[in-house]
Amino acid sequence: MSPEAQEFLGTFVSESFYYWASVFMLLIHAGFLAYEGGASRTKNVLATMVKNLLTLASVGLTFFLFGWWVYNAFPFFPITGGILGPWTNPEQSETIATAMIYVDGAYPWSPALAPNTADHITGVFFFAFALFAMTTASILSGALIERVKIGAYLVLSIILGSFTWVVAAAWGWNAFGWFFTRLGYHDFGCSAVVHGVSGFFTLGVLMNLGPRIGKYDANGKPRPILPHNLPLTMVGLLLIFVGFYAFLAACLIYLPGYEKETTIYGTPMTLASVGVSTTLALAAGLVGAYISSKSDPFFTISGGLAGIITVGAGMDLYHPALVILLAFIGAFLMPKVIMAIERFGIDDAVGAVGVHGFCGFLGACLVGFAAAGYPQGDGIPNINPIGQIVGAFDLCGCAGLHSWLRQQLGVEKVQPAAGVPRRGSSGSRPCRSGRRRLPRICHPLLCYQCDQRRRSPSRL
Amino acid sequence: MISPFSTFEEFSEAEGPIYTFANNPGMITLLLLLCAAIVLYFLYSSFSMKQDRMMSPVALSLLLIAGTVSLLSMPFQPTQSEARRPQTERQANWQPLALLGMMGTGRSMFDRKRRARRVRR
Repeated sequence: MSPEAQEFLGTFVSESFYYWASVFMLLIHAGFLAYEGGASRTKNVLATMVKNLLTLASVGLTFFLFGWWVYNAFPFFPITGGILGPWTNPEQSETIATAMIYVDGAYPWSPALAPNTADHITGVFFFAFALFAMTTASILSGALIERVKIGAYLVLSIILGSFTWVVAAAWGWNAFGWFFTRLGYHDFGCSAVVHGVSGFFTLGVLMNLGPRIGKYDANGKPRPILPHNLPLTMVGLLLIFVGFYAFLAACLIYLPGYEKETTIYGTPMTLASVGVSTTLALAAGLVGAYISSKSDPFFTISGGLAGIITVGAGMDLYHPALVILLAFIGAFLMPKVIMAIERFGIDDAVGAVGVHGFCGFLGACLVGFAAAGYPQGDGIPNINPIGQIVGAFDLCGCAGLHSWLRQQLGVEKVQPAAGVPRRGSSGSRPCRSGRRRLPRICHPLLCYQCDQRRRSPSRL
Repeated sequence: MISPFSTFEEFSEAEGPIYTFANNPGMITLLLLLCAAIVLYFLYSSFSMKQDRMMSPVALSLLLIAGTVSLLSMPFQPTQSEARRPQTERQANWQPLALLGMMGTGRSMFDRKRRARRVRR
């Protein structure tokens, strides 16, 4: 084989690896679709599934238009340059000049994204990141089922999938990201970057949206709204598990000319360890949730996901025994968190805040203790508890706070609904969704139930 | 130390184990014991949860005794060569039980067919 052919083989292996990993990542989305469809009531199945399906469209297109650029342009924000930029001034330092190559390749008009024999890799990375973005928005989708307006959801999915998590990834899941370079933040499997951010963003939305009609009784006590099709929910989660193997495999970096596999931070790792750790985390997570929830099927199946998310951040470093222990702890705590959230008056239909938000946050923090002291590069802090906690808290806290504040301030009031009482000076109205306790308000532009009741009170 | 490496050069050029506690086999043993304890507790709790109450101490004691006896009897079990010897007599003893089982299966299938026919009418 000629050296040119050998070199191209390396490129093709890399290109093919990310291509197929991304294709299998779509199974996560198929899983979320089935999961949500099964978890909703019969009358809402179609609307729920169509809402989830449209995430592919809303996030896919906007991620192309600006999301991919945000990932490449925001690693230095707001450390270098002014608050409005430019953050990637190549004259400022050599590192920024190196990063600028990626920024140039991320514009929608960049030749790197179109058919181009000189660049096989940028497009396939865009593909993988777009699937990550859709997954992130899909987490939000499940929690809001049966009462969110489709238009409001699409706006939220774009904000989360093509901006909020992308900024988090630029800071904490990028070799140039300042969380990594300044704090030594390590999050191999995107525990906080994807799951923590989307979970806490979802919490912010849920606090404004309000619960489904009938979720709470007159005294504010939560009532179960049973899934119409639990087997579909189970199959959905199994599809998510399959997709997660691909998701975590795609977190590995192998580029043409590489002599070994690395994480996105440039530290060594192996793909085999991802397979071992994911399998054990899935198993231990199921056990943890099964014991904790006293064999509740809904929590048990979510436990597998909770286990994987809990160990995702340090999966490249953990010994299998440590994986089992941490996944068990995360999944054991998950049902308690979900039930506590429910008691606070927040109707999280699929437990997204507990599974993704809590376990993602926990997983990112745990790396600081369970993998403390691992060196990450010259001039870059070692993995440490403070860096992990500050990083995870910043990512999750910022996502939740900005989600909650944005809706409190009405930033998303694209088209005010006629006849709906305004918030703020005109006074917050009590929720009309059959709930009397915290939170006392639901958002008129988000809540489909209140809007329907306003239009035709007899229907509800 | 959790990390077996002190510098990035060591870590990036490592040929061999890079996992946490790679230089601390005692810790790995402890973690493995904890994992084994989780598995055992999982198996135990799966019984107690289905009955919606804890397993009775008598039943648990019997289970533990049976397990211990089984373990202790291992040295007295026949060797592989002994086990391979044809044991036609012992197999023959099981035949009536097998027939009973087949009869039971056939009976239930017959009942099912009859019930189905009744429904059609």
